[in-house]
Amino acid sequence: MLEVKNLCAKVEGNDILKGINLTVKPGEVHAIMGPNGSGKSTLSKVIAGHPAYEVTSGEVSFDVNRKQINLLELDPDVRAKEGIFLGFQYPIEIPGVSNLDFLRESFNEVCAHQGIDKLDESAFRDLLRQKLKILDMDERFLERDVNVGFSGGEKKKNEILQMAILNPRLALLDETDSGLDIDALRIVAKGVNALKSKFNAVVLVTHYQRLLDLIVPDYVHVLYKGKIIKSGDKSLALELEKRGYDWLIEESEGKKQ
Amino acid sequence: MKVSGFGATQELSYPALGEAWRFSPFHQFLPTEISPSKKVDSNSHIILSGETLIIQNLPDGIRLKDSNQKVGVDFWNTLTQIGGKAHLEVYQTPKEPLIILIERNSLNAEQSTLGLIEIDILESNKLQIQQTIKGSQEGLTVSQVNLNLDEKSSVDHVVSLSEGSEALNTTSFHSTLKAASNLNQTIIARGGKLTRLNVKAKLIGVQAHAALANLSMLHGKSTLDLHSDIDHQVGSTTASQLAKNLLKDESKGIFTGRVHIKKDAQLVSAAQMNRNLLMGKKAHAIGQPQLEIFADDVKCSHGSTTGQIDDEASFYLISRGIRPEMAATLLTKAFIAEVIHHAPKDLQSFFEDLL
Ligand SMILES: Nc1ncnc2c1ncn2[C@@H]1O[C@H](COP(=O)(O)OP(=O)(O)OP(=O)(O)O)[C@@H](O)[C@H]1O
Ligand SMILES: [Mg+2]
Repeated sequence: MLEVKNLCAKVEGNDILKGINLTVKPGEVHAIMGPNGSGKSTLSKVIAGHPAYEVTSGEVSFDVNRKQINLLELDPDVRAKEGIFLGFQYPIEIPGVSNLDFLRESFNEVCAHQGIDKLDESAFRDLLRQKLKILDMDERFLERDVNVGFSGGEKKKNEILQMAILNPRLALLDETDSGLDIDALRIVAKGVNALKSKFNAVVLVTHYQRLLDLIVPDYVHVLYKGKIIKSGDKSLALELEKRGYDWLIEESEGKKQ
Repeated sequence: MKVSGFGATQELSYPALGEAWRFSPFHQFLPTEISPSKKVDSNSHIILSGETLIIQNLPDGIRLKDSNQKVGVDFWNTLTQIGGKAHLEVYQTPKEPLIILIERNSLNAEQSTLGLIEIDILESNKLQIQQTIKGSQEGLTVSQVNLNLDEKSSVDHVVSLSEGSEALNTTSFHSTLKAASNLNQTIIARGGKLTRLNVKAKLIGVQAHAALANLSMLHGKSTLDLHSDIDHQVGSTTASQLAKNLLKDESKGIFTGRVHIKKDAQLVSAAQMNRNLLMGKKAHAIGQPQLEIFADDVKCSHGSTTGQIDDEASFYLISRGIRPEMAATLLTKAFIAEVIHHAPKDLQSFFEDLL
């Protein structure tokens, strides 16, 4: 469903991604780990189409109506409408726009694009209520301005709420687990697991094994200085938890020489 | 230069304008003759239109103390003897808002409306005011509203000002706040070739509180020059001010915000925020804070931002499938909504047509 080939990208004149290869198939869960500043968020933003990140070479293709098409040619809003969802590491606060209006606007645009009938106000409210319940969120969050004054954990839950409403085919969740307390982590994992199906894929960017205990990955990749230096199964994450990144970095830098 | 209307027959000359009027050069635009307009009909309680001053069906609790067709208006502080005046007194909290309409009739191109409305709010009473200032394509409106808040009284004041693209307007609000009184004032202004807005709040009693918000929404070649003056005459008074400009095309928004804290007026809290959203390549914002603080134990803050629509906020919306134009619309509305939400909930619908 998603194929990334030799992807290189820069931001503000700095080369950040230096040849990423990644294949994600429907039904899979991938975890991307790696030290701070290695390019994990950059990769997610490039896939979502953030205008500040410039692809210098390589390809990204995505399945649209059973055809792999060049994702880089799609406008970012169209990528979202085609089922790509980016859960932000740092969700943005938008004073003056209510969460409810934001969710409704976004839901309607995505539905219209996918040829799905809009829900009327009460049906949409019902859908929201149901998702809020799964996430153990108060209905009052709907009336509040998007992320304004939300605690760190509440912001992350709000990302998952948006994901649950939009029901994406590919969810890229950038450190959605950071800042969550133990209960919230379980709730968020429940929300993500509820989305999982043989049609959907999830890419989790995370620093912690504790998330991967709850959402079990099929593949684990380690990103370092803009490259995937190692891929493996879930046991790789366990090994990293024990041994850190140094041995891998040495291994990969040794290989280079 | 001749001025007529409200029986002002003698010739008046406009005084020279000093440094503080550098961005509002009225002398360049004033018509040689200012003539009154035709009579109007409306549901408003107070109507000032051309030469006509109508006061009708005042809500219970408000009475007319005095009305006059020949009074002084603070048109650059010196020009007098033109305009109509209504002096009201709120002796009991009315159940409904006081509705004021200051307008020019579009039938007469070269016309003017000039007037002063003074309202005394007696001790412990509450007043809500919905004020509309509506111009026509061309012409001149000069108006002033004075609010005198007695001890423990409170006023919620919403103002919508809209002017035609060739019109001139100078609008003043002078409020005086006695002890424990509370003023919430929200002013949204649109259009006009040149609009001068004077907003003064004088806090003269302890625990007085003024919360002021202004939004200028300008397009074309409009210029709006906002001068505010928040004067803390005594200690333990608080004020907050939000001044915003939403500037399209080649419009210009100026904000000169004086905050004065008198010597020994301790424990004053004063916050001022100026935000400008530039939506035209040639749009231009000028901010001039003037903080004059002569007491030492005070809490003052001042901030100013000028910029285009925030790229990160915009991408956040777009990443959820919202089209870029729609994202821009939502963020612009949000910029406006912050000022509307400054008004108390039950008065916010007054600004409904803006969203
Ligand atoms: N907009 C930007 N402007 C300048 N530099 C940037 C920008 N975005 C990312 N970078 C730089 O690119 C590098 C990779 O950043 P990125 O956010 O992708 O790292 P990350 O792997 O997500 O790190 P973390 O684990 O800390 O979230 C960093 O050195 C960062 O400073
Ligand atoms: Mg990151």
